[in-house]
Amino acid sequence: MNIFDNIIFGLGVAISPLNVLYCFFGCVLGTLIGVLPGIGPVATIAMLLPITFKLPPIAALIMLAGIYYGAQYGGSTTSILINLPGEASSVVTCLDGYKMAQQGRAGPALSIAAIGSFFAGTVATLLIAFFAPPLAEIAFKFSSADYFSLIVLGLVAAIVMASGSLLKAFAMVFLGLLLGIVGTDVTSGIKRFTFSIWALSDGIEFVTVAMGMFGFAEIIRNLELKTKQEVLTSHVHNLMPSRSDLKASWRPVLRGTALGSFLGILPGGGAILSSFASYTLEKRLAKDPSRFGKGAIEGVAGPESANNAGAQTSFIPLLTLGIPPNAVMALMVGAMIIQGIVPGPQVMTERPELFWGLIASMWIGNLMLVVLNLPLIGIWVRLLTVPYRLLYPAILVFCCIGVYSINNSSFDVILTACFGLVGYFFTKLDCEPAPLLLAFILGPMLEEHLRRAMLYSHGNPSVFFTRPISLVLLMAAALLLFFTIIPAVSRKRQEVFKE
Amino acid sequence: MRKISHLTLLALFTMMIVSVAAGSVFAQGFPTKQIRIIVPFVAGGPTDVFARLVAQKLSENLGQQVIVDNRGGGNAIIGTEMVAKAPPDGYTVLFNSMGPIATPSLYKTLPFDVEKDFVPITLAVTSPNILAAHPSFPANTVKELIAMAKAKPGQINCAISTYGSSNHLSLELFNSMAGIKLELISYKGAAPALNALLGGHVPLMFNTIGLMVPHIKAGKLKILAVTSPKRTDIFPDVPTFSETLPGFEAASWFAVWGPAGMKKEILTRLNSEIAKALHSPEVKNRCKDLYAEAIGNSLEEFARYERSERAKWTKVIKDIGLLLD
Repeated sequence: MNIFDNIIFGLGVAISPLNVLYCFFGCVLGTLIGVLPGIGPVATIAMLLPITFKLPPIAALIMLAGIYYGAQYGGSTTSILINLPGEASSVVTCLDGYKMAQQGRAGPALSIAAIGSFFAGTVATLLIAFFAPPLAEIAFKFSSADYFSLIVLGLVAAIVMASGSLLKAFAMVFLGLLLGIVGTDVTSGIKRFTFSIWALSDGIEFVTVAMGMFGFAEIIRNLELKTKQEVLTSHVHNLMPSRSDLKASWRPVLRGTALGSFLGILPGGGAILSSFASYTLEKRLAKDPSRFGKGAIEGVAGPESANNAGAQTSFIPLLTLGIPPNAVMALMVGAMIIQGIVPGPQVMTERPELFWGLIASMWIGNLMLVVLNLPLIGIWVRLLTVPYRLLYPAILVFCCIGVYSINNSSFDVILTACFGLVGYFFTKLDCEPAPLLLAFILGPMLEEHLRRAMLYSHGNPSVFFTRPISLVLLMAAALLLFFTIIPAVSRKRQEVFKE
Repeated sequence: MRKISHLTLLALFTMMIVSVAAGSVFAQGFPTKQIRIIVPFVAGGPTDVFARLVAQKLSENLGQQVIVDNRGGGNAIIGTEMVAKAPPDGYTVLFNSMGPIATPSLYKTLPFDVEKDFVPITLAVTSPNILAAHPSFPANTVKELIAMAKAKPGQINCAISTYGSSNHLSLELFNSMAGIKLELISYKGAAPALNALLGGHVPLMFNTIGLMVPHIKAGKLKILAVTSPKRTDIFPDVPTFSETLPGFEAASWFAVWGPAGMKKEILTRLNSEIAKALHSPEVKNRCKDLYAEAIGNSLEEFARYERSERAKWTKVIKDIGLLLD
């Protein structure tokens, strides 16, 4: 049975009225929770898990999948409109997306995000259909030493990402690393910086830091400045991107899709890296990098495509091997087991209707989402005209509900408020929170892979240079660092020479 | 003093009677409202799946809602503490794997007392752990592995899913009984560990049998031994550890506990109902599909089993000096 036959077979399964209905329901729900700050796909899928008992297996999985990639579409909405990232992958969209919204260009930003996401979702679905097994094999080639080098590259990229003072970026990175250490160490089981508080023994949640430092801090700042949001956006006429917008965006969308598709396969946070990596790539390749951070549309087009592609390809390890690469996929495994499906390499051959039906419905879902989201942009932009004194309490309430829903813990909510204060002070000090967040995510991963690579090689550090993947990545990181510092150094020299 | 109207007096009297009657009705008509099963892990994992199977059947049998409440965090401590502090009316119970109640000596301090704060209700499910290897690993039996390990001490790595889990303890038991030292590498859960094993980055892994069956059947992994006292039905040719190391026994087990202080009638009722759910063909067969065995024994049997497990693992933990801090 060749691939095309399989795809037609899958489409046949996916187009059945029941499956289309559940796909639609999943996509709508996913968009909704993506838009609502705080509540994310993990919490939602966990809540819906008992209901999947009663549904037929394919419909249940189609719905849950729809929630997951639907949330990626919706997540960009709050990032752009109110500087509130709902997911780790939406943080980067805040940087330029929110600035665009403040300049009255929320419509184009949201449109490009939706269009880019659709393109990326489609391409990724095709990749899964054609290349799932070999792509899964590539993921196996990555050992901890290779992950380590990949993350080193990511951290160097964090420095490139910063648009302000380099020293402040370094400071934020180190603070992020420190915050990331809080919790239980994977390799030794020792608790660090938990101050005997059990709620901290699993570390600080990403959503807590992101919501606090981006969302709450922004609200405090806005209240202080008494900026009237509606003034800034009341003159939005065009909701669609202009020709120049589209021209500027198509290449970032392509690059973001490629990056996201590849990084999504890597288990353990590959998809998170994709949006950060795309942002850095676009900034490096842009003719005028200083536009980034001030409303460059490439900074929205690339990362949004990357995170959608990453979300889709992260299904590959689940569908081909039965191994979940992230928390959402782990829930899908639970859903499969409840349905009596044992996840593993045999799913492809023993339950082809499940495998191909799910893949086909992903494409249908992406189509539904772009048709759903584009008209909604008008409504979202209209939301910004609501007086701020009514808007911000609603945002705060939803954020608190969202943060609470992760662990049913009020401690998390209090912690978010604390980070809100901290984030507010950072804006006063003109320090960007984005490098802190990146280091917060990557730091613990860096340490985990470094120590594990050393365990694998029994303490031999040359493994980072003898493994080909690792060597290539480290060289790329060194080059990136070199080319970032050289212009700064040569500028300094020119200043000296002028005198 | 103002004269209390007859109506008021009558109302007060009725209220008193009703509340007294209601108190005794609760004990007889248990359950009269929703029962909450607390699973101290995030949804989707093995503990959660088994809990949901039981909850579903229990709900059907009792005609009352039985919900699973996931309270993950702190390596199951947060959810367990919640049950310790819950009212002992039978409407909140804990469904957990071995966890902190059976292995309290892993921790310096715990926010509850494992013997005083809980009452064991029943043993729900057991599943053997296995030692699996990447096909390229030279040893094919436990004997060969022990010989290899003795020849090159500290050079062979073995993966476990999380520090302090049942498969970690199986590894430590193996190390101490065989007199070898396999270097343990822990991960953030079973999935990353399995990834590393399949990719050949780590040669061995201890984990539950259910996780690895599909890959063993596909030839991507080979199985060396099982930790149960008897050979398994799925792999009848695979020896048990106890054939090479007499007395070796380590299983993954899942059980139900309640907060201490529950009334005897409610305890007995819960035990018999949960056991009935576990003995039903649906639950029995689903567990079998997951390579686990549904048990559902009596209050005394489980209490005995729990005590003996706790004693056994306390000894192993103290001997190696393992501490989770």
